Amino acid sequence: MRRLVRGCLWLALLGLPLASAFGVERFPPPEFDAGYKMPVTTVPAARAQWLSYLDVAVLVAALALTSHLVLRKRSRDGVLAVSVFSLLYFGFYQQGCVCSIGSVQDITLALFNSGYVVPLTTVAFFLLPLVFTLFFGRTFCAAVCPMGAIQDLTLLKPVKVPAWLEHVLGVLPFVYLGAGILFAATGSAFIICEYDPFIALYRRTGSFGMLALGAAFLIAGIFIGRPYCRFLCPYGALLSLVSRYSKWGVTLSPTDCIHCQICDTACPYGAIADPTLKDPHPDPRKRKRRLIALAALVPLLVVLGGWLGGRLGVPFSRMHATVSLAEQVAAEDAGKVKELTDASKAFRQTGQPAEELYAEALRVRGRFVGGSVWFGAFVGLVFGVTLISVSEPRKQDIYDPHPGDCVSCGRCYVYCPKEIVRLKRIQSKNVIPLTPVRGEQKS
Amino acid sequence: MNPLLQQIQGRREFLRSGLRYAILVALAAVAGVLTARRTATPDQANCPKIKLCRGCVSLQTCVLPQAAEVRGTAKRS
Repeated sequence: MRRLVRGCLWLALLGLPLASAFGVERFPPPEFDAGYKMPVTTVPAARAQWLSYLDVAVLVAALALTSHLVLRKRSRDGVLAVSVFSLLYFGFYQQGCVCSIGSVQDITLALFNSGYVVPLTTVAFFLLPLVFTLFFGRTFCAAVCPMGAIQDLTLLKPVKVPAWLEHVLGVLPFVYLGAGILFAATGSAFIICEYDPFIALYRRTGSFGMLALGAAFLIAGIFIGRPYCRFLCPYGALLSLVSRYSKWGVTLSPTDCIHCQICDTACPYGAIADPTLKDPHPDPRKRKRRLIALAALVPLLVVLGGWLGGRLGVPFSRMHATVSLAEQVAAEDAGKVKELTDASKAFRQTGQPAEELYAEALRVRGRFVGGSVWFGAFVGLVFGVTLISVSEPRKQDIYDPHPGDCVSCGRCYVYCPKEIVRLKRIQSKNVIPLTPVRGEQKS
Repeated sequence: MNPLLQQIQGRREFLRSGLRYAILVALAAVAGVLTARRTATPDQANCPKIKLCRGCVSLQTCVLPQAAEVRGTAKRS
């Protein structure tokens, strides 16, 4: 039955882009005789202030409800219901904006540019999921994020991603986060929003490329659990770091795991960590040597990354409008290009001296080179830390979700035989379950 | 449980909760800085985004004169 519902939902989602073909423009623009073409806006019109506050209230309610359903009720069906709601509200109704993933860039820009006043609702969308994750794990990813919800609902035939590939691809969200911060901090572009694969679907309009990207992610998502969340989402990278220190989180049966491995097989996100029953490092001297070598490698990777990043600063800076305009104007003045662009024509009409433009472009480029060094060093650090974490897996003696990787979807609750028995026992007693949660299990 | 293991786990939990509250303080600091900056005056503010005011999420709170004009036009129409 659940599969049938999912299949119908999947078909409906695939049909949504077609709906845009029958769309009627709500506010027809006036007709101009001058041949002026109305620019296509890439973002939805600003919402009324009270609607923005309503969005924040809905976000808090959805986060609280999901946390309750995941940790207290341990209900997969409940999580699924909130996912559908989030997809409809934050996705199709709110058209995916403001979203927590994109808010990273607004916050970065506001921190680096004191003149940019960020709305309080955007601050709330950035901070609230992080605060909830700090206490309850990644319940935002579970059902509140519309990007996660759409991928969770379209996962039909999950295939396990090999662990080595998972580790390699797991670095990408941090690289994307670093790039997003670099371009936002320099005021060049909001790349996370520009290349959001599902936004065209939520707005039922967009370029063919973005619609195709969204469709590709959804088709890949039928077999690979949440490909965007696991291997690209920059906000997911932040939540993954924060959730490692969360007070509570998803656990299976902490006291009576029977090592049946069903949860491990059932988890489509590879988040259930295998127990390390035997000592994974039989030779302590060899282990020590490897750790020292890796620890020495980390600063080397940081320096190498910083150097490489610095070299990428100049090509990256071309993403900034001022730098690209300065290069165009310089090329036109030198006679290297014959065709003027709209931007260079507009610049020449202002009468501003080209030297001022070059000076501004140089200042922007300097900021880019500095920022790119930091970006490269950060990527080097991520590679180094990943190598150490692969070499030194977390020790545990039961099958338990990894707090960083687990998106709190609650699938494992449905499969764990001990959990099924526990829930039946509780239901028969008709009392509210006292959930065993991480932290409590250790006492 | 082994008392030594218990002690180690207690220490780990102490460090974890210490880090948790450190992150919480950092997030509160970010919120504080961003809220303080909302008092920017029109001469201090600028708009680095190259897009139309109508589609900007900051339109309602933007202090730039262009944004005030757009808000006024929207109210009149």
